[in-house]
Amino acid sequence: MTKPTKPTYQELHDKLDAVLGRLQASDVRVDEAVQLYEEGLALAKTLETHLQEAENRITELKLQAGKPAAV
Amino acid sequence: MDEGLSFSVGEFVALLNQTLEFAYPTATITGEVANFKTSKGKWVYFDLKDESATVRFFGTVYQLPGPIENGMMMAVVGSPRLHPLYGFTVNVVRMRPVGEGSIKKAAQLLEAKLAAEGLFDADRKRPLPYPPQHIGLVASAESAAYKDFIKVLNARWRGVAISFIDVQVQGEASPGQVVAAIDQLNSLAQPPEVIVVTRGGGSAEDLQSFSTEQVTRAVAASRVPTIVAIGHEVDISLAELAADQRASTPSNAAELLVPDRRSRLADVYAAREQLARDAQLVVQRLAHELTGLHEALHSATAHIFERSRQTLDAQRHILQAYDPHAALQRGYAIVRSGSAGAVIRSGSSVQAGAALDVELHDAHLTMTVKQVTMKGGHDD
Repeated sequence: MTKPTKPTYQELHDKLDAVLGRLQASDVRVDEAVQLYEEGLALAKTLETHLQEAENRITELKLQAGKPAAV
Repeated sequence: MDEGLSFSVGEFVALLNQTLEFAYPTATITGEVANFKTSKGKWVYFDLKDESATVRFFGTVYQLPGPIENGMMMAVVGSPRLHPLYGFTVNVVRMRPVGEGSIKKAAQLLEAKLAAEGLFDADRKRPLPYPPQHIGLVASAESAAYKDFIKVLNARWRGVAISFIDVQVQGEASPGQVVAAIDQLNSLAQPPEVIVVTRGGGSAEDLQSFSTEQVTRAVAASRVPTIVAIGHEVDISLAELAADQRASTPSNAAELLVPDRRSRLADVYAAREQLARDAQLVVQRLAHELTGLHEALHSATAHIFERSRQTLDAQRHILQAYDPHAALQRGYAIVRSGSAGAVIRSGSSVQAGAALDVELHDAHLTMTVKQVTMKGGHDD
């Protein structure tokens, strides 16, 4: 299972949205714009890698002796 | 005539019960329910009958699959006994409705009961995480439902952890296993974010497990949100009604759980292009601001130059007005002493016979003073 510290796809996606929103603000300074651009590119790269390369992992759990069927 | 063995009544009943227990520890008897009644909310009495016979049954409400009505066909697993006071009866172990009609009737009665309790209420439904990172899956490993769900999930999304529990999805053991699997997933140290319960289509009897009271209650009681996809689109099991979300097929469950990564990839590419455009816009905006500043600076400087030039012109006019040479043009003359060259401002500094230089606008005249007559009438 994914560790809770690792951000989820949705969290990264929301962050990219926030970066785009900030970059579109009228008061953004040029040094901040450069930083936002680089951060946005890195986020897009992480999201792309997740969508292209991550694997689904199936773990089979043995059914523990549950309550006996009543029907 | 052989009179056979001889017993007291009590001994006879005990012997018959021993014989019955040895021969038929349990038996499954199928028939139509009649004279159904409950006592003190706990005990259940009814008969099963067919065209030729009627048999009495005794059990508890906990052994019922759900509400029962007279006329329903039931298969009852029970132990035949001869009661010392009340005669022959079958003690119920478990029972289930049989035949399409009775299964549907039983499901309707149970649905009405659970609906009255609020198990299917819309305001109980919780939103499912989208997309989840950890999915609990309750299905049969051999089923097409399991394969379809995994196939569609793999095609659509990546990076999901699936905790799968293999259960029987039909037959007597099925409801207990499904309930246990739901409980087990809920009890994990790191429980999944959503539990999927699924199986493919089948007859009403095949799907019965998912309309039992225990499975329906387990789905409704799950702390982890649930999505249930059972059978075909048209058959809606009670477990689906109790779930936070219902899916029409196992594939549909996967579609509802996760987005299509191809569309998300397109979103990411679009975001990257937007990023580049926005950054370019920022540069353009800043360049435009710089141009504006440059123009303002230029305009302010030009204004200062113009004002200085006007001041200078005015000063030059004033200077011209006071230029003595301009006065010579108009007929005035400058008289200087011939020896010292000092300008003569008064007749008192000149004596007859002195040499003078008179400057006109175009010539110098050298003169000798013949006489000095002061204004006011007396000679020097």
